[in-house]
Amino acid sequence: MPETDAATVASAQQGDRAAHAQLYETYATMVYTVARRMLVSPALAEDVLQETFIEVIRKIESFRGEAGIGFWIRRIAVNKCLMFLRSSWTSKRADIDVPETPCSGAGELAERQIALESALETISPTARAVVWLHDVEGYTHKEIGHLMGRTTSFSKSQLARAHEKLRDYLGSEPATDGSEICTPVLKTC
Amino acid sequence: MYPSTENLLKIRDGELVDAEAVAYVDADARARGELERLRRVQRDLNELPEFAPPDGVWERVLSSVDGIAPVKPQPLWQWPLRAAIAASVAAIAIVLVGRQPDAVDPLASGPATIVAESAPSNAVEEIRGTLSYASLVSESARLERALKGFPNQSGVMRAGTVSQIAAFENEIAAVDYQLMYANLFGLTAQERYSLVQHRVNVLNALVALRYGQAQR
Repeated sequence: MPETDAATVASAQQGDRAAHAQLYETYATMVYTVARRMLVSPALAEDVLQETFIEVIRKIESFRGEAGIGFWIRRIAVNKCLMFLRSSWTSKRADIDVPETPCSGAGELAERQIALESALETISPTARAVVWLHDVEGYTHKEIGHLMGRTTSFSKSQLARAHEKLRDYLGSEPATDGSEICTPVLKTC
Repeated sequence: MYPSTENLLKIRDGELVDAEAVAYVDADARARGELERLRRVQRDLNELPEFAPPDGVWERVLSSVDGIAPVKPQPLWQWPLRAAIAASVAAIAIVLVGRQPDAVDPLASGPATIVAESAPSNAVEEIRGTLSYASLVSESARLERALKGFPNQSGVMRAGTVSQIAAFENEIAAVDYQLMYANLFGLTAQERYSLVQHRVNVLNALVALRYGQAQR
């Protein structure tokens, strides 16, 4: 998590646009990445990035610094993603906004990452969000259930099913020489 | 019994789980392999590369937060009227300047001077709950200095950014024009205050935009 000094945060709280711009420069990549991982769609992720920083600027006065500013911004971004997931309109938009599968250089890690990204895009948006929130963001099942308006058990079962689907997908991936990995994969959102 | 994925995930995450499931994993190579696979997937998820944010989002954030006209515009400042007023005032100004041999070119004095000289007679008067006119003028000058501190705009710039910068600069020029002829317009102190306040807001947005651009 990138760091921001207290003076910049204080300036941002006083409405200093240069400090706001610095926060954006520091955290935009993090926010956009979280949104891309949770929502897949580049257009939706861009909307989340925009909405997140509008809220950051409007509400930074209320930031009390219990956790770092980065965690605060990240939480806003996650909430925006969940809000977008609940929206039927945005899910329709996501259906027609299919990102291209990135091609990467050779290397075992790069190949695994590309395969994993493709696999993530084959599971449901809700399951993907649960996987991301639990395995990467570190949310507990109780927190995820609460954020999604569901139960703790719902989060646990979604995570387990998602991992089973990821296993099935990744297990069925053919051994590739790299070129096949870069073949666009049909994605659903 | 072979442990469920849910139980394997609990073991992976160090959560409480049936002792029977733990014992099974200890004894069974396939279950251990599956547990290791779940750990590897989690590691890989955390190591996925970041996505670079697209260009232009910060400019849209600024537009949304500030708007081009954050101060509620008086009907006088609406663009269609502006054009008409600008044309008629320009004609009057030409006549007035022509009558005064020692008239100074107002544009030569610079925007900060134009703003300062447009101060109403009660310039130091505090408007309740807001900055004084003098403070706004000072802030406006500070932002202008900040703008001058940025390096020259690079040759390659997104069309959206260029357009946004041009929009901000046009807005500032329009405000300066009205301030320059504030007496001819018969603007009240409150109207002049609103104009300068608007100028500061637009300058603020422009500084932030240039700052963001300079970081790239």
